[in-house]
Amino acid sequence: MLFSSIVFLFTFLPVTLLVYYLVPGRLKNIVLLLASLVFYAWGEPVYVILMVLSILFNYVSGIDIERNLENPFKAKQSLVIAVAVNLLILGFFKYYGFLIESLNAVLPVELPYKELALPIGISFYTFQTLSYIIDVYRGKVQVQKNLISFGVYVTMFPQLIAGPIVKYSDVEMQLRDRNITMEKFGDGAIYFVRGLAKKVLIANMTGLVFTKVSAITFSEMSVLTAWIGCIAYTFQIYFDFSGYSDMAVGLGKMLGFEFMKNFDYPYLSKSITEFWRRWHISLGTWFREYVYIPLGGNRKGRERTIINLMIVWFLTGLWHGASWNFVMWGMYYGILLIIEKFMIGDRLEKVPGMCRHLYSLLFVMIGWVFFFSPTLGFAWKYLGVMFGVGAKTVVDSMGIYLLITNLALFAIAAVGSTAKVHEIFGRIVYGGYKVRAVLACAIYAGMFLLSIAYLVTETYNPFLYFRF
Amino acid sequence: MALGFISCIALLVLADGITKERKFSEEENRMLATKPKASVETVMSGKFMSQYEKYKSDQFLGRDFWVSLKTKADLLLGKKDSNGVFKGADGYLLEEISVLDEASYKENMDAVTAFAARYPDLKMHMLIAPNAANILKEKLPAFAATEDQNAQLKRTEEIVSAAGIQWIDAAKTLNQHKNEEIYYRTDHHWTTKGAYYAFQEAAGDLGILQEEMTAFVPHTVTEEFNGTLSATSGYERSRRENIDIYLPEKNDTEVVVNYVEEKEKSASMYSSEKLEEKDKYGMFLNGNHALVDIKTTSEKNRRLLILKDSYANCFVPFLTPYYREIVLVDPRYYYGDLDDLIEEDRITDVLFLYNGNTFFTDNNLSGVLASE
Repeated sequence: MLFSSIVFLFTFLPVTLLVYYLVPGRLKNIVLLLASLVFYAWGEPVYVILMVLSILFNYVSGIDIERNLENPFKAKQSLVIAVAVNLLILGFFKYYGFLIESLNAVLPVELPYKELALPIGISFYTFQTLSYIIDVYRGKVQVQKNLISFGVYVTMFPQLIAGPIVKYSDVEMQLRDRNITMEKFGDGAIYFVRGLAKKVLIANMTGLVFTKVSAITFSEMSVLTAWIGCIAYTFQIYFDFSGYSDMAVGLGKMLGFEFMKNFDYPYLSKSITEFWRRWHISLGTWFREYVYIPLGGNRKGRERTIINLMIVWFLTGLWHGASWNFVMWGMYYGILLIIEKFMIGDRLEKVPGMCRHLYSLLFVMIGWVFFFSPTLGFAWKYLGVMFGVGAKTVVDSMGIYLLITNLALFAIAAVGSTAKVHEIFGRIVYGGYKVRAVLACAIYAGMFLLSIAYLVTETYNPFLYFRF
Repeated sequence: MALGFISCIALLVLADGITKERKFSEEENRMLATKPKASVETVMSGKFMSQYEKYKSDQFLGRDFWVSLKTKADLLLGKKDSNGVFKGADGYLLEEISVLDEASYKENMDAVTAFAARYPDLKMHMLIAPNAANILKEKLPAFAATEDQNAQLKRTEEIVSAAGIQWIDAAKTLNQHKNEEIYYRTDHHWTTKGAYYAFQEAAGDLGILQEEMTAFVPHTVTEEFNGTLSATSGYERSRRENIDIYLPEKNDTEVVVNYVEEKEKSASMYSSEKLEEKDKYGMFLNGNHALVDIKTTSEKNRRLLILKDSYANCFVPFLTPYYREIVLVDPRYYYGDLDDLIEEDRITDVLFLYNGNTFFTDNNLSGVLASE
């Protein structure tokens, strides 16, 4: 079930919240667990069993590791088994087809395989259970003996299918005891509505522009059109993903949870390094904590650091999808980060801010081309057109038309990518005057209604038998 | 803020709960999804869930209100197209020109060529009506780019002329009259006036002599037409247009229209009951049917087969004085044997009549033309 759907907004959410608030404190986790299972089963009626099995396995593994902590060898053995099983499940469902396909490409044999449907959210919840298992082993967190609480941690519907990747240590206390207040609920509502508007009003609309551009054949595409497509995608992915994260944070607050911020105005970054501190923060933190640092991080000399970085970025790319594009995209960032770290880091500081900003945006946008392309070949061709190789012309009327009719949308998206709007809003809402609070309320209500209008019309789909 | 959010949701949930379920949307001209029944099978496959989501949004209260809110917001942002429909000048909605489907087009052209070679004794003609976005280019929003339909037409003309089929140049005459009401503003069809001009151009090619031509007079049959482009795009939904029919000034030819598969006969080419529905263009020849046989009281002895789409429906009435029999075949619905039909009905003339957007993406014509 998507947050941005009529069923979620007007059936699932009201019912869940109502029951959740009506039952006494100790039953709230059960309600949340059941609701989350329904939420997941709605989209994955079969794979929900896989998720339940994964919960049971990790629950038992946690207890097993904790019991063996006295004996380092046995504890390590349990940990290795638990991690291996989790990765195998993820590998089997997400990378099996990709692996066989890649093998078929290099080997003279043709291995038959059947592509499995990817269970929704498996990359997210696997990383969450791994963080739990590893932290229990490290003694960083207490083992969770309550199956319901553990189930809630893994399945919690706000972050189940698109993050943020909540580390167990961050919510350990909250699973037992959390503050549920009306004020927090209101705060959550603001986050939620803002996220919904980002997703429905901006991501979906810029998405339409991107879809239109990507359907054009390369020989018919002008440089301008290619750039408009790339800009549209740049906005689409940010507003889509960060909108979804905002909704997750908001829903979490409504339920009394505090999740970490997942995006921090990434397009304001003045270097690629900074971009990755601001983009999908929970994933970056995860890789840092559970891969980069255990590998030795930057403490083992320059060469090892470079190798470690490349491993992390290879995996980051692969995590985003089972295809060479994503690997390429990850390695691209690995290389950029290494260059920034060891070659131009200090010199970059001396360049005017505006130039650094443009430099970062340019490389991030090139990165997105690898990300949105269905194949590597497509990516190279698209990049070619962006820089004039193989393009029809520099400017054509298609490009001008797309620019004119989407200028306002792009302008709104650009302003929305900065902290300014948020600041101004903060001043209005928290200015302390009653009138202002009412005004803010009205603006959010307007955003909410407009989002609903766009949502309802998505299915506005006149039957076309009469078009003939 | 909490209160605001809760009351917003609660209000909509309540209001949605008390509105009655609708089965049909007049505006969108389609059946709306109704509440699906859950079974183990449909739940396990996820089918129930997707049907339920569709049901929820189809039945969501005040659909029309939300649609117009969205369209207004889009316009405010400067968007000029929606669902493949441009919002042009003077209230004209223009359907995007279709990209030619290379594979099916080639099959169609091969089939047409082979068909012409198989029936050297039949007089064959082809009329592909250009679409509004081609003829009324100036009405398109600034810089709006469309496919070059004239190139598609030119290419087709060359192929069929080489096969001995006479090409009727509708684009020429429609261009000459482009300042008149030859296309509907809210619908993708040409108006009866547009069809009339095309007929006058076609008459000579079809072998209709100037001195036999009767004069036609327009009569408005409805002023309440809001067409499919308006429904698809959400633009111009309050605009109402006229539909005219053109009747001969004198000695009206009588007809018997036989909807063969439906086993229904009518003494008129116009189905006035369709004027009560949303899609009023269906008034011409009762919409689209696989096979329609029209027998006339004309004293001519020619019998015409038309392979066609809906553009033909308002064109055919101009032809009845000149043919004893007119057989309409819509290849999208027709599964019969065309060779048998030609023989049994003693066909003497063939006309292909399509609009460009349908013809250049059609994948049914070649199948019907192929010999068994």
